[in-house]
Amino acid sequence: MGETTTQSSPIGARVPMVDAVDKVTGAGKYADDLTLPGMLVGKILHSPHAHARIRSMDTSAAERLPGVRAVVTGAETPVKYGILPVGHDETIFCVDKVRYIGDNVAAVAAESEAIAEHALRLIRVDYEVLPAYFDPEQSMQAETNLIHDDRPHNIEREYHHHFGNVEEGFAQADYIRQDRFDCPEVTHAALEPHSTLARYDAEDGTLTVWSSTQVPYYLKKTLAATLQMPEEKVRVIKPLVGGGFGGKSEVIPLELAAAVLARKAGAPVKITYTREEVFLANRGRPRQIVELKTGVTRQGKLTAVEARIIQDGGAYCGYGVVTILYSGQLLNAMYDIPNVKFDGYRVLTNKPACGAMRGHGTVNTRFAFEQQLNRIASVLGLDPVEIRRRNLLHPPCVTLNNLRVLSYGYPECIDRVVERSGWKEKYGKLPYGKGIGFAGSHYVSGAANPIIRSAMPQSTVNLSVDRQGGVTIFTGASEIGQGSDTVQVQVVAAELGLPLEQVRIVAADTARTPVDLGSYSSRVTFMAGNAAIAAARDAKRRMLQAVARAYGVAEEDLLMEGGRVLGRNGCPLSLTLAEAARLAAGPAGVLTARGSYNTPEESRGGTFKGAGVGPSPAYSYSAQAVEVTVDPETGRVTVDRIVVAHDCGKAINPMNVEGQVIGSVWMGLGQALQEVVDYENGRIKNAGLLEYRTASTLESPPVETILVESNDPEGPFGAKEAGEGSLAATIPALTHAIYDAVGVWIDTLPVTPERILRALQEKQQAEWKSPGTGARM
Amino acid sequence: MNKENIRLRVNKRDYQLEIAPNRLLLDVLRQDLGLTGSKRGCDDSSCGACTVLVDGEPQMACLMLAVSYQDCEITTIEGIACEGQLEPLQRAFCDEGGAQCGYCTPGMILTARHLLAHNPRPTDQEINEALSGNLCRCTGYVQIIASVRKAIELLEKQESGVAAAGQGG
Amino acid sequence: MIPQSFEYHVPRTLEEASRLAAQFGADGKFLAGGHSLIPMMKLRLAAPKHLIDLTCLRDLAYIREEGEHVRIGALTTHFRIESSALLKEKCPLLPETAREIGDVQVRNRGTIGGNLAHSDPAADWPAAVLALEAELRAVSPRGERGMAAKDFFVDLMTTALASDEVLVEIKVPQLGHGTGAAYAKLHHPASGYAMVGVAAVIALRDNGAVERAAVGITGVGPKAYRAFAVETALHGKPATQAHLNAAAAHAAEGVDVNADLYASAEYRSHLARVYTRRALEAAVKRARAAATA
Repeated sequence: MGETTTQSSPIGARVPMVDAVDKVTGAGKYADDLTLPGMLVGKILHSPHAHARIRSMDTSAAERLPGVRAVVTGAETPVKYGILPVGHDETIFCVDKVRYIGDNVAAVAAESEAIAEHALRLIRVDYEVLPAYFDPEQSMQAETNLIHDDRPHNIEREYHHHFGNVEEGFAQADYIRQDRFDCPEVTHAALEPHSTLARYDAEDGTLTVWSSTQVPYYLKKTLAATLQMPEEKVRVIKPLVGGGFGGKSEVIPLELAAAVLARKAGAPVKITYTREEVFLANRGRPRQIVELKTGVTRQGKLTAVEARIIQDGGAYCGYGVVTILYSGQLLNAMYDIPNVKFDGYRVLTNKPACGAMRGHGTVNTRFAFEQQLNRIASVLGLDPVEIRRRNLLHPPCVTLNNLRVLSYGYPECIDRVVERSGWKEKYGKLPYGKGIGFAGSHYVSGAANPIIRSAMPQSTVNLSVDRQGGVTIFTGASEIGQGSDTVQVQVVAAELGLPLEQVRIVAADTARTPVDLGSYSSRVTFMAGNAAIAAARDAKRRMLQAVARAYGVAEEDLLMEGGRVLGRNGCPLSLTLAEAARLAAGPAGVLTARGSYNTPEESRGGTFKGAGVGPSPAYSYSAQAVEVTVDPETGRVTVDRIVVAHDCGKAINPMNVEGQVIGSVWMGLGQALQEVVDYENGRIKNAGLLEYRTASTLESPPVETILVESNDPEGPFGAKEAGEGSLAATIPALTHAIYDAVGVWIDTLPVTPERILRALQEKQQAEWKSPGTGARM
Repeated sequence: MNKENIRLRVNKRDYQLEIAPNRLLLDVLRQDLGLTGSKRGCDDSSCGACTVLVDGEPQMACLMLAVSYQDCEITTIEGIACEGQLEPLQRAFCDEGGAQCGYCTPGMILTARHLLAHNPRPTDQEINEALSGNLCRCTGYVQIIASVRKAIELLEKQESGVAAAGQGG
Repeated sequence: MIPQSFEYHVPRTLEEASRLAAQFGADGKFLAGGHSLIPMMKLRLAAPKHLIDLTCLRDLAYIREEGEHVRIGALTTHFRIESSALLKEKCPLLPETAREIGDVQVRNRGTIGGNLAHSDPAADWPAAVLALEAELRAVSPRGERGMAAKDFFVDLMTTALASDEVLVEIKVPQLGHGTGAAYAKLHHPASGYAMVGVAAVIALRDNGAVERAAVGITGVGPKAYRAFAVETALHGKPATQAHLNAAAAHAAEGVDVNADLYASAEYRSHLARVYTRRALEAAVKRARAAATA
């Protein structure tokens, strides 16, 4: 690969995103910016009860209201769906009962928002309120009034993995530590509220949906299934998306509701969620309770790890089965752990369904593990960095649970962070109230196994070269602000030796672009990137072959560079790309090429139950040092500085990679310090940005990024994941820094000032009771 | 509800509209004038995505009744690119990665524009304080601050260019 | 979207505004900067049938010195107060407080009168006007009257204003010789309002003893309040650290303390004591500097 890269190669160039101008001028259109003639406003009626049977419903008054054009209820939409084939437990509108406050009961399409809202208030629903479950540990004891009848004890799914032999491992340990960690629910809070515009053409029975989605392909499939339409009659178009972070990575109720309403009303319907509805749609990171037990030798070598994990999944499965598996499976592939046991429970409760959020499944487990490792290091008197170095993997390798690791920049990440942060001069040496902490994390570069098992490629890219030499990429990959379009333009331009301006991209329109599974699990750069390279190579091969044939030269004596086909090895030929493209187009009149990517068989993991989640063609790695100041009088934490090193394989666009890494770190910081979805009896108390509020500029520290390039052998130009892997480490690095500053460990998130102050008071009382113990233990 | 005939001046253009008094300026801009660059991100006036300039000052269009703003000069993101040329802040947000998903970008640029108009050489702390009413969920703000810094650089170059041209004339 | 419809009125004079208010009674609401009322209307927490837009009463946006007082028009924006040279010199506590409110957008549009009339329990202005012992002046068809700040805040979101009264002016006595003031605030991490906000004014005698202390606290209880117990504990005492500490310990005495996700009542009481002490310390320091100036 990379034979055509020269000094001016777009690979490694800090170029603006290809859609940047549309974003800075306001010209770019997001779903809610779109309108169609005769468009109606859709509104959804949400359940006021956490758990209730629907005895009856009367929509007649709403239907009679002038300006109302359609009312739909669950009776008309009984087909079950869900993002996972094993989790089809949702319907567009509730059929028999509601399962959380906010569940979708009915919807109306009307000529104005005010009329639609009025109509909702006219719908009469007779509920029989049922006992509800809000706490996962209590929900697991349930015998009656189950949330879903086919899920005994409200357990969506449980897994019990045992690799090696933890009993033997713990027997070999000199020190065993057990802790319980509690990480509450957090949510994506993407700035763009979800929005969907749907148009149904009764004449030819086609449905077109513009939606704020990370997964147009799955949305298309689900629309067809739930509306009982042929898949080929459904077209999904993704306009600009104002942030996803996983919150738009499965089908969200408004997308289906808008489509059903549009079909029934015979007019285009747009639904845009209020911010409160965004919280109700949720799919955030579930509350996770981790009971973790780790054994080490006196030298700090890990001997065994045992984790019991409970996730509070809310009322529907969503991605839940995947989330709980990630939380256990990715205990591995970071360190060399000889014995691992995992008991995972995904539990249903009467709250909005959780789902995938940046760092899907791994974040809270990683917090627990890294925090415990730091606690172990402090008990054993080992440097927290050193204990990590003593437990590194030795790739290429396959972990106990069949995860294949080829590239592993973690050791370099550690070294670079230690150096840049001044770790050796600072850790344990800063004045009281100031501290520095360290931790690492990792993530997949896409799931090796697709959600719906299939032998088809995970990503396909078509490419056309027009007669003027302009290249157009057709890709199903979904730009959601992470730079998906830009990375594909860069790799194609690099492969064809073209300036970026000569490459255009058409993306994420299921009628015009080939299949890509979507923007989730950090798969786009790796998978669509590889598919784009393959397509570009196909185009190049066709052009070089045509030129070779036309001029009677050997193909090996030709290369593409600077927008031209050039001869080499003494061959004096020089053609423009347009000329080459015309030759290659031949009688067809247009040169088209295609490429696709599927994960190698060897990367797809084992065969045990649950083995399919966790395997990835490549893993990214991250190490971080966080510095804080703690006000011991109030417990208030100020984050002074963060140094992060991220192994992204190869930075195709360092500016965008840094943006992704910083954004991840910052989101981790939010979870660590202040974010939480706060429930009271199943009702979200802070369902707005004012109360959930993510950090502003004033609470956001400088983040220094170091990009480590381990050059993955299978990544596009060596690239791996960049947008998620750095999130998790921030949390334990921060709590570690607090420990270094004031000597207390906080195992419950978020680390509020009050928690710190209480821990300080408890520590003080303990020290009074047993004088003589050191401040730092 | 009675509709009112109102006059709005947006991006140096006058509009005559007949609207109900409960219409928010943000909705009128987006729905009636097609100026969708101003975004709705929240419902509790906490995110700043709808920020527009009212007589040059950043204010939130989601908190403003359109009828109350008849005597003001309103500027939205669509009104700041000059004859198709990006202005320095816009250029800088492109070049420094200040826009990821782009949803906060229009509001962010307008707020930054007001800052630089009143304080052409702000410290990092002053930039942070000025932008604290505009939430971003993508960038962690680091590249946004870098974009503002870059814009200052571009503006200074522009000025010295103008000054040089002036001397030459 | 604002779901409810309403009649919209733009009075051109203060008299007209108060006449409209009297006419509509509980059905009417004043609109100033809109930062409190509009969000409540969007969320259906307020649904006035008549909205009386005060935007046109530009005469109510002023800051001027008159004798021993500074007078601030109710429609003066936070930003104008923050940047007022006159206030920076004559009453620096006000710009110091203004700087702590919200963000640029809020300060550009929000007004001191709208903020005070709304009486949010975590708003910043109430602490300052309480500590400054300001007078809040209101106009109704029955005439004009002044209310002491300590009598103005009645309960959660409730003031002493009658429904036909327009708050028109905040009249602030200038600080005398040897007097210092300070505002210490812990921002709520979510909303930016005051988790606790303490405004303190301290006048010192020549011998260093406290002649007068006035402390206003917001964010802690259902309404902002004067911490009289703190003031009494300081009166006549030398402004030593020990006395400041002891006085601050009374900060949340007798208050029904708020609790939320970010701070339990117990922790918030603790914060009230810590921030009261910090405000007192800063005010004393400034009082000493003022005495030697």
